[in-house]
Amino acid sequence: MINIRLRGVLVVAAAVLAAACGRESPTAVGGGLLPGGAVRTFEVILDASQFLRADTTVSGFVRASTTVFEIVAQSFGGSVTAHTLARFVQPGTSITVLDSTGTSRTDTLPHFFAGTVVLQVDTLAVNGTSPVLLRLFRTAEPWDGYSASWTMRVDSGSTHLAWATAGGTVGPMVDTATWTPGADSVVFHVDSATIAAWADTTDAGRGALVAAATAGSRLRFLSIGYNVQAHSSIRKDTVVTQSPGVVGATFIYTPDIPPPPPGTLQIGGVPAWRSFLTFAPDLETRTLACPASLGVSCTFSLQRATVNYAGLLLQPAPAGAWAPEDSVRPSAWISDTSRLVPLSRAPLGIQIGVSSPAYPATLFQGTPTATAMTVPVTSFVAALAGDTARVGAAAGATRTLGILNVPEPGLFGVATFYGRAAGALAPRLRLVVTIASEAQLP
Amino acid sequence: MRRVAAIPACVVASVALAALLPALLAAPLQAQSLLSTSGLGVPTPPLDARARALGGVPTGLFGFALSLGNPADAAGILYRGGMASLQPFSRTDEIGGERATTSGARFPLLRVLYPAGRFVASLGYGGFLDQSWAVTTSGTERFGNDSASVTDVVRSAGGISQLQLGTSYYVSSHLALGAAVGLYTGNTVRQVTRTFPDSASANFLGFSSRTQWGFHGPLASVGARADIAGVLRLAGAATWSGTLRADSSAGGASPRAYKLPLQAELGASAILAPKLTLSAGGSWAGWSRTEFGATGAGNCGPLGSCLAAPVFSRDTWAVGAGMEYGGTHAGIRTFPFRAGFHYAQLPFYGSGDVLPSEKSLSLGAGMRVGGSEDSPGAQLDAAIERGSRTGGPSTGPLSESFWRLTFSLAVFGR
Repeated sequence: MINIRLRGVLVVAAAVLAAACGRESPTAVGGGLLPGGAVRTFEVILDASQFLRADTTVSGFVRASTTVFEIVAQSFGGSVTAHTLARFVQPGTSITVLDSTGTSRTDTLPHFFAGTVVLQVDTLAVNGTSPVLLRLFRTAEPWDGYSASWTMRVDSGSTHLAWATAGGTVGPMVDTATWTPGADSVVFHVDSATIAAWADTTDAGRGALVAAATAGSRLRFLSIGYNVQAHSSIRKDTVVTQSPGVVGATFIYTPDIPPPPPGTLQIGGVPAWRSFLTFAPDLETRTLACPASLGVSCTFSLQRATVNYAGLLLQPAPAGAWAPEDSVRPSAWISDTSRLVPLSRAPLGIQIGVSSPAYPATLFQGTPTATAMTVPVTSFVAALAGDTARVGAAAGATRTLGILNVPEPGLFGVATFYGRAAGALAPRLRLVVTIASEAQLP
Repeated sequence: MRRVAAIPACVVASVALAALLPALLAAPLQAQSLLSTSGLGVPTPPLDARARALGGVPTGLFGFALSLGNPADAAGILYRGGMASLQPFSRTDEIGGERATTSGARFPLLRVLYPAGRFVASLGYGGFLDQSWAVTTSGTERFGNDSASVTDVVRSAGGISQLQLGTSYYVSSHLALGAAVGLYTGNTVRQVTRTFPDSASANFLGFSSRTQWGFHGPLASVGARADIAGVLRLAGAATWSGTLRADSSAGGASPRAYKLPLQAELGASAILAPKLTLSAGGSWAGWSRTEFGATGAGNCGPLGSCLAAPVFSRDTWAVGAGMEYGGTHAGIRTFPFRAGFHYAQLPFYGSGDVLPSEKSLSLGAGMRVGGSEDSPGAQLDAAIERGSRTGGPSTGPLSESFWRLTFSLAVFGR
């Protein structure tokens, strides 16, 4: 009997003992019992000479055919002209209609008598403030949607075929339309002959070309739609509309995006440009002075401090004719330089940070603005400083960051910013760091 | 002496294991007081629930007493067994017009005993200094043109315990002697963290620094207990302690060494009536010999000052008294009731501080099953204390009030 009761008591006691192993919650009073100012967080901004060892810009990433937008331009900025190419799906050879008795029937002899090509305008892009006259043509030469460029209609593998007319050899003009500022779409009307021509899949040159006729214009489209209307042979007064879709679309432009002016870097564009910043090898060991606002004369190194935040401050530069047509979202990535391959082929590692919100395209127009872009690189700098326990070793796998616009390709124009040789406009590194007194026994 | 009802050795072994497991796992003792922010912490006497209920009388109690203060107190125990004490608490701190309540629990005493003839060997693990506390503060930091809210938590977890291997010798029905040797052991982790609770700074990494020390130092204790005329018991013990070394075991902790005090414990009990006993006792510790280095010695970090305030120490007294009523019986079970008062000076304080002290009133009860008063088959005791502490800066002293429960469970077998 005693044994049974004692066993019960022991079980309860063991449970109580186990439950007692908790941590005490910190109390909100008592801070006055400890020396004040033991933990200090402050901001330090490093000049390029203090943290940046090298920078460069490289092009050649992605093609126009992979973009999620199309561009039409005419002497924009005095130099940039772009045409959009598209090839449409063949309309269906049959339609379904209701006959006079209300019965659904398949009509295999529809007559496609009219259609439309609809350009959905990117209303958030910088498309200008003046109307733009657009022209829709049939293309007159075969072209490759993947590799076509301003001068080459096919430029893939061992096949290199030039356009007879640079910028795309065109046949008859199909229609004209005018985009007015603020409109979200442009509609071209398509005649039956053009519908038939674009439905002829034996013609490798079939397709559409959209060009702008208004000098100094540039429009960005999000999509191209193709709709056709057919009369039924079963019931003449019935009109059926189909939306065949697009086989492929791309844009071609001239001239090529030039390298950035000396002392500047750029991201964006098609093919995309990326900028690479290599951080100084002594960044984490360099002795830095605490700011005067701290009220304490002290020095520290990043190895002896905690990096709470790090952000690259990139000063936008005017990009002229190649100014971005949409907002810019710079992003920092680890660039794997360990394989000793050129930067243009160096794979990207993990993404370190991305600017949010995106920066307006107007920052890159006209004279330099006072607003710098900030790209967060906290985990990268923290890893360089040795805080890999929290941010992971991958964040500091190399000292080179790739800066690119995301999504890539997301811009036709380029976002230009000043490089390390630009003096006061060069990249800076904003750090928020915490240093503290060591907790010691008395 | 009545034989205890049989309790299997496996049960005793289980209790012993359960009793020592927390010690083996080095579970941090929990803070009893914010005053443990000062010096080496707050003393945590290794008393069982019965001693707590009687005002913290450390030795000289009639009957069964398993506090670690006097190695002679185990004399007369006939059966091998073990005991453990658990001490939950709730505390309200008030300083500078602000109040906050916290709670926790600790294990003040764990012990196993093995009698062999007139000898009783014991292995005990008990509290000595509690260094567990945590303080949180909130504020705003400005950096550049921005500012952000910050929340800092300074946390100390751990403490110093004493591991004693002792023996007591039952010389006669009037006299018992005891001796013990042991080690002070334990560790303390001090962690400072800063977080940025604002959503605007949600992508900020937090700050954390951690320093840790491991403690070790020797101790030796002798004690005696005398019974006079069957109505009076006197007991006393002295404990010598060597140098306590605090070795750095993590972070930028700088090693330290401290001279620990000589400690003396005295206690007496008198039977006032067949079921009524008066007990009184006290302890003295010569903490004034414990010197602290200049604040800022060692690795203090880039700010140039260590997170450690100047500390002074003093010799301390702790006294207490209580009454125990033998209670009622139900078969082989006995239910005693107790009440007591306790006052203790605390040894560590800062410059200009109110000298810290603690006082409490206590009530307690127990249940003894089988065996005799001196050597029960099993005993469960409980004590509840309501007390207060004062200390801290004289310009804004700290006032603490607390509820402290202590439970002790002892189980013995053949």
